[in-house]
Amino acid sequence: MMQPHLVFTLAATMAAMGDLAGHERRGSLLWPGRSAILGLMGAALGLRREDDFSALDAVSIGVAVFEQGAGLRDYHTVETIPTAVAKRPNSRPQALRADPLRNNTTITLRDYRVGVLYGVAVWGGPLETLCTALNSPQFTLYLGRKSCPLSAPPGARVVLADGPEAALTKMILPPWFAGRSATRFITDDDGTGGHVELRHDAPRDRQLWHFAPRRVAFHTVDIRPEGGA
Amino acid sequence: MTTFVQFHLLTAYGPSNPNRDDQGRPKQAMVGGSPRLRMSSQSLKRALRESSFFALDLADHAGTRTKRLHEKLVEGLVADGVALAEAQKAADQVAVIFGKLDTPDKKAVDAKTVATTLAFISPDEWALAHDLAAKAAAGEDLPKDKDLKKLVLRKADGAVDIAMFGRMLADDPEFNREAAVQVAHAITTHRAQAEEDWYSAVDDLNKAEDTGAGHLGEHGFGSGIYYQYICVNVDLLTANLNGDKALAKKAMAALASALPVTTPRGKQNSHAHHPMAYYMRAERGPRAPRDLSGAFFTPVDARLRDLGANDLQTASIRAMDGTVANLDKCYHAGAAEDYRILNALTGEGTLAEIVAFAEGAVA
Repeated sequence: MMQPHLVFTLAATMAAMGDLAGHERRGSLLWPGRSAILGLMGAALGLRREDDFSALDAVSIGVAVFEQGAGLRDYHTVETIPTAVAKRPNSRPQALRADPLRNNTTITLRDYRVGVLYGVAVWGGPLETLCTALNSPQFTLYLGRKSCPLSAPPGARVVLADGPEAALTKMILPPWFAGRSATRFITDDDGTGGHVELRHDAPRDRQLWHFAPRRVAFHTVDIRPEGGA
Repeated sequence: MTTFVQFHLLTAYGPSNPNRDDQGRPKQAMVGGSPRLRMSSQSLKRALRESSFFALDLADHAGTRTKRLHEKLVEGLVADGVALAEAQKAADQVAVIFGKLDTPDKKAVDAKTVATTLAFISPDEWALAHDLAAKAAAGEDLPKDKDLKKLVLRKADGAVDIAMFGRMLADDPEFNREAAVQVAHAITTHRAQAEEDWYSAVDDLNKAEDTGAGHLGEHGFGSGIYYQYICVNVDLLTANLNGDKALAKKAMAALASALPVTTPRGKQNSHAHHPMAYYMRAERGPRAPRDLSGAFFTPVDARLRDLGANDLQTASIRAMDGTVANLDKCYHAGAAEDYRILNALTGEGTLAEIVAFAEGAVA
């Protein structure tokens, strides 16, 4: 059945897609999960972290993996000063100089994926609004961490197609990825097959950071975007 | 609609080690299957915050934390010719806005009235407090309590570096700031790897023969042309500064001036690296931001013929310009966004133009 789909490109030289995180280690998934895409669309719409994202809960999302990139682990030091020592500082240097003996320096390890390319299909929501927002967003879009800018515009467009896989053939590939095809497509499990895994990333309460399990289906596909604009 | 300003810089670094990994070598990354040198976003932001442009140009926009507002108000009024007793009465009324005042010790000579707690007072608030005290001293009735506070108190928020690079206070989320400036990791535009320097040091006081070195060591370094990308959400920057557009302009100018001459300082005394960007592209507009790292996805040293260049500097510029044109063709029907260029290889463009262009984004 033909229905409208929003398709857009996510390309980045460095990306980080939060896996389960604990303490000083931050891993990365090989593709952006549902919450990552919702966050990105929320930023485009101008939703702040504390705002209500529930309007986006209705949309269905599928991600095609064109290039999952190479792993990179960054070593990173973090310096913190107890807030009791530097209350309402004017600037970070000022806070850190308030009492150098009480600064805490710790090492963190953060994983990135280098040179990634994904195609995202969205259906069943305010697609035109999302499309406009993605092409001229309210907040800066990035893939996982703020230090991971997109290396191509999202190039969002709404297309009529018989399913997300067909819709994704209408997405725009960045010039340096011309001719690429996707072999994996990841979406919510709708009982149509594929390999199914359970992930705990369906938000129940964003303020309290509560997540419910979600069944994710991995499909083997062959998506070949037709090319440029 | 949001206005974004994007900066793209190409900077050649000689042998140096500005940002080290856990082994002490320059940070690296594999991009497009080829090894590159890298500088982390974090190290670049710290270098910017610590740069003289932020320290000097924005000095007036750092607030002060003090208990001595009362004393300063009295001094100011007396200097304006107000009698001491009048000045103190006026200052009593105004200084209390920032917190309770201690009663001065009547027996002490030259006792000053000070606040019981430190208050953070922004430059604007200083000026407003002084004006109000002058009015009070001139005999005007001041509004009471809440209305009086509203006249002076601002959400103390003139801190430009926090408005730019954000802040997360777990204990005090009300004072969190979403960073308005996005800084990417910088990578070399071409294949480059860290090298090892093996070195020895001799003991100056040991003149006996055949004693060898007093110290052996190894030290990593690397060299290359780094591509650096910075994206400013101008609307968010202004909002983070409480809508103070004059200050947002100043912040944009400080950032644009600092970018091409600022470097992380790791091992600077060993390498004396003080590079300046040789190419800088600034863009502004409402389009979804994108960096131009795709230009270097295939390293430029592997594309010299294709780019019609004999050297890495020119090749990097051509790769970047070509990618801008191609992205505009694929995504924006060939229309370019407003931009300015500085090219120190050909002497084209000036930093002053780019600074003015960046300031102009604050509408």
